Amino acid sequence: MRLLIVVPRVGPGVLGGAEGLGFELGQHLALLGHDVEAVTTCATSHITWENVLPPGTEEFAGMPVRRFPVSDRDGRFIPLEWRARDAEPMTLAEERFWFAQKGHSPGLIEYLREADYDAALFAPYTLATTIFGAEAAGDRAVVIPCLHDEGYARMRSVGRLLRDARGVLFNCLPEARVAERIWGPLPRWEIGGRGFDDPPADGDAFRRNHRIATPLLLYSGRWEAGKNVPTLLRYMRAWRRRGSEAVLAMTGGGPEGPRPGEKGMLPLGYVSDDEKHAAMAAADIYVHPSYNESFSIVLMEAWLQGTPGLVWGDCAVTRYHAELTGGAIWFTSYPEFEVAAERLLRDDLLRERMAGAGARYVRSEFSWDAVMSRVEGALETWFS
Amino acid sequence: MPAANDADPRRGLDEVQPIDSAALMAEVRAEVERRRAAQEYPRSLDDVPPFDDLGLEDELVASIHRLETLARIPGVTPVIEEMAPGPAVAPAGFDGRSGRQVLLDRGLVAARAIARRVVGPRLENIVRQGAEYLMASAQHGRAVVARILDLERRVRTLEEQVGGAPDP
Repeated sequence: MRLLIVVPRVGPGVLGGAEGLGFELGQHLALLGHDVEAVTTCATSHITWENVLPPGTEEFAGMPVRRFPVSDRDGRFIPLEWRARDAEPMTLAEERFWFAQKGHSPGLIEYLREADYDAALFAPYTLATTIFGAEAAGDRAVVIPCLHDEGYARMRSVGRLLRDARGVLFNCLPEARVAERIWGPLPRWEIGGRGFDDPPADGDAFRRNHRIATPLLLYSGRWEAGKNVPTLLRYMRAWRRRGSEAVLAMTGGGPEGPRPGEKGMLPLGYVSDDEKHAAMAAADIYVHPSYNESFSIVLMEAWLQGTPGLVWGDCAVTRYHAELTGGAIWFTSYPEFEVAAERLLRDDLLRERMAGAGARYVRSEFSWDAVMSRVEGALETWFS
Repeated sequence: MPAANDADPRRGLDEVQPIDSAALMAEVRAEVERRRAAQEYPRSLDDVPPFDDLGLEDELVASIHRLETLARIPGVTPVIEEMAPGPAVAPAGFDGRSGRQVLLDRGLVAARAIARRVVGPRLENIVRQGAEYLMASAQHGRAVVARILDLERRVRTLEEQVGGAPDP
């Protein structure tokens, strides 16, 4: 099939789980013999949407990439931002105006109308490239929403997107359940997800390099209130004040990190995948406090590195993975965090067994072979 | 991660007995209850929401802006416009009205004028009161937001002072 992968940002240093997921899916579809092109914008930041990279075509990570500039934003969208986030009613015109400030690229939309292709895969759901792009692609649109249970998911444009698409690829079952809870039964969907390799990593070297001899917890991701990181930091500080020697390492970045030089915190910042995997292998517990996930790639990576999870109990997705596999336990208060962490830390074999259970789940359900088999099967069904 | 003891008899147990995370959580909750009963957790650590930056500044300001916008009700003054009676001219292309229709129309116009005079001022008062209430709410909202932001600043300063102290 001639396929387009439409994601808002592609390029070196571009961070974003959904964008990466869509692009990697495209790479694996190309490996299976499909003719795949990535269609994206010139922007690298989902905050400023500034056109940084030149328009035109180039090859990136072995795949042809076609870039289009993003149009200027209209600052009047800011008051609508709160209404969108909190699922307050907006007119369809207001919704479309709001989406038009989220990476809208008229050239990209025009290309999707005119180009010759069998199917276009769009990710994620909150951006103009997906909302307007899927309209332009018509019955050739397949959506990979990477949907969270949040206000944006309740915008009418999103319901229309999911219902009108030729097919929807969710990352895991809880995400599909969230979508159907909000919008009712959807006509065509399948679980796709992201495949995982099993990269070797040296946790001992990580501990030696950072001179860590105490219990180690790791968080990996954005340091934002939306990821519940302030709660994790508050719990870690309290736990240490109560006598724990555990250290929290953090990869990623954002405004809600630990204080400079704070004892018991190891802020590593943005690191390479190898370094991240080494940190995961070194950690005793991978802690993921986020209450809104559509997949939780890092939890699965941690399992593959032999580390069990401690996740937020009210996050439908991570809780689902935890209950299904036994690879993680959960907390929703400080006492639960403390007791659960201590329970895991005092039982080496329990941690090994939990991580093993999680890793078996990932290898069985989210190997690239398993994922691509589901995705190709869905495409064949929807486009036959 | 430290290696587990190879001789542990539970090794490989999950092949026949998968990890039961619900049972593990029951164990965790039981221990939490025991520690709570022993009053190990000061109130500040036990289920008390954090007094951290609420991140509400923009949200509250946006809400106040909306209140203020709602308070500006176009057409509140004047709400009533008296229609000056004019000659009843039949629109071009229509036949003239019968005497009965003319009487009925005049009756309707008079009834509408009386209704406006009776209901209009009351309605205007209600609308004006609503607008004043919204504006007063917005003003109070501003005061509350300023107070919250001030409290957040003070708490942040105190937290930094506490955070600067050596760990136990």
